[in-house]
Amino acid sequence: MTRYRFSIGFALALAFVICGLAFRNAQLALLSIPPLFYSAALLISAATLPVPNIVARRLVDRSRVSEDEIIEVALAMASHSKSYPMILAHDKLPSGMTCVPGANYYQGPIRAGQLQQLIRYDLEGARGVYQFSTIEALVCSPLGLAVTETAIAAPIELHVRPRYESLRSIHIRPRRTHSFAGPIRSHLPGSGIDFHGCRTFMQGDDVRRINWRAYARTDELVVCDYEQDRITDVNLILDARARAHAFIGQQHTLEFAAQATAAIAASFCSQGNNVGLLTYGDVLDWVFPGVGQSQLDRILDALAHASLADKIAFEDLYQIPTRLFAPNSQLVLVSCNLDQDDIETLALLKNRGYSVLFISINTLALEQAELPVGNETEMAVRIAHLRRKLYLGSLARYGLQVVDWDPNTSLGEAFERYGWRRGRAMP
Amino acid sequence: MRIIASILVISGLCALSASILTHHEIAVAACAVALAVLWGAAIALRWTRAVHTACLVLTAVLCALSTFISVPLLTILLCLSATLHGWDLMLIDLQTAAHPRDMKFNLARKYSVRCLMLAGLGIAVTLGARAVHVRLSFFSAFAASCLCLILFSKIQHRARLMMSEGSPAKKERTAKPPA
Repeated sequence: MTRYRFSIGFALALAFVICGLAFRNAQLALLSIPPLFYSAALLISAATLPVPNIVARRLVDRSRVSEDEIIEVALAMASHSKSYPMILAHDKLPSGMTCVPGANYYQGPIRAGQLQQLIRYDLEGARGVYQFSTIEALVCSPLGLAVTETAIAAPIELHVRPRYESLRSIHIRPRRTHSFAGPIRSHLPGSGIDFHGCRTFMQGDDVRRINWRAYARTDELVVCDYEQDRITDVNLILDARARAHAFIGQQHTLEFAAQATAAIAASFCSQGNNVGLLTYGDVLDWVFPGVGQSQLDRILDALAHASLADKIAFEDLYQIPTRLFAPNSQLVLVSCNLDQDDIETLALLKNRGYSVLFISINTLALEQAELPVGNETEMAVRIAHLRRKLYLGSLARYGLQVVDWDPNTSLGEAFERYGWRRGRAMP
Repeated sequence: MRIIASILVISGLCALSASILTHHEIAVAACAVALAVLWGAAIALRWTRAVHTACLVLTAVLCALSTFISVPLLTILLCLSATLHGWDLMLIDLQTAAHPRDMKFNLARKYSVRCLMLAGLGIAVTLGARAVHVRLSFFSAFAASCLCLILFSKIQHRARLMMSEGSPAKKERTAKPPA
């Protein structure tokens, strides 16, 4: 840009001189002096402009945050060669991130030597993974006329995970459990809390488990068995197919699906279960089952990456790779709209021995809020409500466990509404 | 930046057109007003660098024409300097289009002061130079033109080498001596 400015200024000056000489017009020749001055100043300014040799580093307090948390960013810069009298550095934010009051740019000198912190600002953003690459800087010459643009590399990656509410323990009954103690009832007699059955007393049985009332009735020693509590495999499936989600105004229901998946994953992980996650839509993003907080972190990171996709290969749920899931384990599918083929696929999974829990995101209230108030809207909502009832009824008839969640209410309430407490039967 | 640039350019051109009008050259004055409108549109709509440069060239031509209709040299100089620095400001504005507004405002403030000083110096030197009377014959003028052209090409070549980023000349200048 400086070269271009110089060339134009200088050419203008020359044109005036030549025209002045050609027409032998002194005033015309004199007009060349201002552009000549300008070009000379630009030339001197460019000559004194040092070649940018700046290092920068972004320092963040955390690289993984929840949606409603704020990230503190500090920008430190230093020059390797010489000091710069004036630089304008602008830390461009990736789309989706916003700077909460504070400036994400710096104007001023930079000294040679060690890194010094120049600015601090706070960021917040929607769910996603954000790559920060370069800081764009304008280096000004001491005279201030010549300006050179440079990009300073300072790469960092920020993960904004979905926010989630903490749920009470979710009651599931898969056919297969592991041998480690946990909260899931295993259908096997042993020590536990819930009653399983009675049997005749055998040598070695604990006398405290003798059912004295039964003994009084039958004159035989009978002991009570309880159901063993074990951990199990839980496979979460986040449906990221664009056709399975509703678009309401500026937002889509994948955000709610991600929040629900995160809440369920946190609940199952806190119970000590073996939890895995499959994001179904773009590519097969599979988080291998594991236990503990580190596994929850992995799942939340995968949820931060999740985005809507429209791939022919994943058009139907039929393509779900069941070989990834342990036989007879618990499947939890989080989605918004399923068509008849998808419902049949879920029924097929149920028949193969998987216990299937379907979290259905109910968008009727959200969609109604976007529509004008009137009789037609009310009628349309009623029809949609009835259709949804039929749709959920058909899922229940296949023996699937269904939780209908309205994002305006809490997910915990939705589970409570369906009697998802220990010992209670599923609807 | 755009505000300062538009004030500079439009006020310069308006002063020139008013001065031309006093000499009853309505057509040229209308051209000056039309040019001011064109400048205003180019600045407001952030047209490309080429459009701004074309506007600058047109203004220079208008300034050259004004010398033939005996418009005061000071007015022409004021218009030319204002246009030149307005054009420069717009180029910087286009270069920093993606940067925040506050940042550009501070840059424009510092830059404008320097430009004003430079423009003032330019005008003062020009007015001083007018006092020197030199008479040239046709052949002397032709020789001076040729000399100017040669000088221009030489200076241009050196300046391009000096300004090109990462050029061998600049690298040589800034390279550290081997240990």
